Amino acid sequence: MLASRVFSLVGRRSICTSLCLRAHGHAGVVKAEDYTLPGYVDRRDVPLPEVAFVRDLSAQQKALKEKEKAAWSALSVEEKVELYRMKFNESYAEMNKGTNEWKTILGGVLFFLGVTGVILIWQKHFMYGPIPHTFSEDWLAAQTKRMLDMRANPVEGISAHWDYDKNEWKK
Amino acid sequence: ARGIQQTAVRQAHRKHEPSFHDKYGTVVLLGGAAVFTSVWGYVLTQLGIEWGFSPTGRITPKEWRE
Repeated sequence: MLASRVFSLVGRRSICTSLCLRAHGHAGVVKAEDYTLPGYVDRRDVPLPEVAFVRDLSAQQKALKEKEKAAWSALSVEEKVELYRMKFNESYAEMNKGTNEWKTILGGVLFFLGVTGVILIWQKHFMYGPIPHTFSEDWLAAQTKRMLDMRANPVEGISAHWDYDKNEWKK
Repeated sequence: ARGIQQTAVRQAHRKHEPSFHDKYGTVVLLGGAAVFTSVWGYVLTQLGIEWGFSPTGRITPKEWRE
């Protein structure tokens, strides 16, 4: 209902699209847009694309296409290559060729991981307070001896790694 | 669809312009690796962060009884 109201307000004439406008000069036939036509594509699984790569041939290329209708043994190597390049954009070798993109990606990743490290530096410097005194070397040494004296985790843990006879860590 | 001008020139006119990755990829990779190793080397060793490593094999026990 509302749509028809809009139509009557605006007028049917101006709803005409660009396609219609062009049709007036072409005896009522709408010009096909490029995207509706078969296109060229470089894909490994499409060995013969629907159209040739070069659509509009120069005069030189048109002459070559005429020569192609005759015996192919008369064509020089350069002419054959030119005919190939008219029909195809990239060869399979060019299509499959790897790039150096991985270097940029990996380098970028490592760089931003480095930025993360800079954030940690900022935090330690500006944000965190001093660590508890129980992490000092003296305290850790005394704490470790006390744990070993208590036989803490004697099966597979810390006391299992201490040699009580030789008074040293097991090798 | 650009028509190719010189039919005589075979390889040269098909050589595509070097991409960003061709020109700068190696530099970006090495630079990023350098930034990474320097920053994290500092963080892991010099910054004074307590990582809480195991005392096993590291700490020499000291007498604690008074």
